[in-house]
Amino acid sequence: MKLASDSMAREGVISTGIEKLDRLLEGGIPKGFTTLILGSPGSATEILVKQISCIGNILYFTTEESKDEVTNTMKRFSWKIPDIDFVDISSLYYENILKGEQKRVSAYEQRSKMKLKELIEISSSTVPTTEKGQEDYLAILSNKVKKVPDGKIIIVNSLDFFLSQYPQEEVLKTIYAAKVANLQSRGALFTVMTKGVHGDLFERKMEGLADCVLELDVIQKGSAFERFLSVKKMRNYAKKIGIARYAIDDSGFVLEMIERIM
Amino acid sequence: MALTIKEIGDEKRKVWITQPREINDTILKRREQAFHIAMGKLKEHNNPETVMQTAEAFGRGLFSDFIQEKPTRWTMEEWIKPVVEKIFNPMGTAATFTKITEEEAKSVVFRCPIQQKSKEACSHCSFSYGFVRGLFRSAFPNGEVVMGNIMVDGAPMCEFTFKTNPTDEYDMERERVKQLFTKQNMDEK
Repeated sequence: MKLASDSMAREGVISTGIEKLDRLLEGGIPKGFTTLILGSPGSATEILVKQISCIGNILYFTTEESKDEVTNTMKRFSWKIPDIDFVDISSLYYENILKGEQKRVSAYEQRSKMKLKELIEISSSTVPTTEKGQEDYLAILSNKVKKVPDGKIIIVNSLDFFLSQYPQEEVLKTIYAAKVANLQSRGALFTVMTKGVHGDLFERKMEGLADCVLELDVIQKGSAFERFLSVKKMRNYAKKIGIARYAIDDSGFVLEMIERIM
Repeated sequence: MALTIKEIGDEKRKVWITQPREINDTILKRREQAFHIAMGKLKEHNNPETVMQTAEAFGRGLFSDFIQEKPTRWTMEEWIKPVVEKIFNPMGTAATFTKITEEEAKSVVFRCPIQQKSKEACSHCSFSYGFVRGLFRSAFPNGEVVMGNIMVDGAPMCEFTFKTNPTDEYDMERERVKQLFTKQNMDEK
């Protein structure tokens, strides 16, 4: 993986660890910024965030993959795996599902071994019980982010999970609180979201909340796919808005042909 | 504006019928796009959970955008009327409710948005369930949607039962539906 050159690393800016992306962003992401990474399936947003997380000092919330799956991908690209604090919501979620399923199965197994008389007695009085009350995943996110040390980089991959479990307004409030915490800690907050599922209005609200918006698109041209990364928004740095074609090779994200829009 | 949900029958046997309205292209396009994205994610992650999650998030998004009045404490009727009128019917879906009480509502879907003949029929079923669940749990966070099949006039129909306070036995309903359609998907292949 190519790291941004030292000359590029500037005061008050955090390098993304991807040289050409830093160049597109004229040095990187300003400290305290909240970045929304919007992408469609196939655009490899998850590879981008994993590559960014290789810069180290990371608090990484993973909702779609387990911690091991994330690190395995990093190993596959031969990236150096730095100091990452994982919050493995994906494993926690599946653990809860599995627990509930096991309890349900054991309740039915238990009932199947009973004699008819016992079964009638129990069925007239109760139903199989499973553990009530799920983990509050949004609260986990909120609590962890609140206690983040100065300069820590927070990655939330992805918001889609929270948006499938909680009302949009609650997720928005939590991200807003995370943005404030990040502003105080002078780190960087990256949130990933799939484009086109949650409605234009919500996307606009998220874009409004974010200081920087990176959008990843994949366009099919005949039998080939072209991928584009655009910097849609950069608060107070209108000059940084631009677009670049990219590909994924053995080293990860490779940006080609940078074009400035403003 | 006339309500699209109409009560017919007598005290003993009452049903509530709804009619599809003029199709709202915006909702249909959003549904198509969300389903397409869910399929893209399924291809990428090979995990049926992503279909369910995308569908639930899509349902929550529609609820947030199209249901304007949101009381702090919902009743079943307050949920059914606007959802049928603003979301189901404009999608071209007619649902007949055979039961509406505070704890439970049952609906038979006559023109389901599920594309039965599609190669991705099982994913459509899974997506439809997730989408309806997202809509329901936006109002009733602890509620559950139970998916079943019933025969109406000799034809198999999809039946959704909405439970505001489900008992423990429905805790794994979402998983059951997910696994059912995943298994069917595998069998089809």
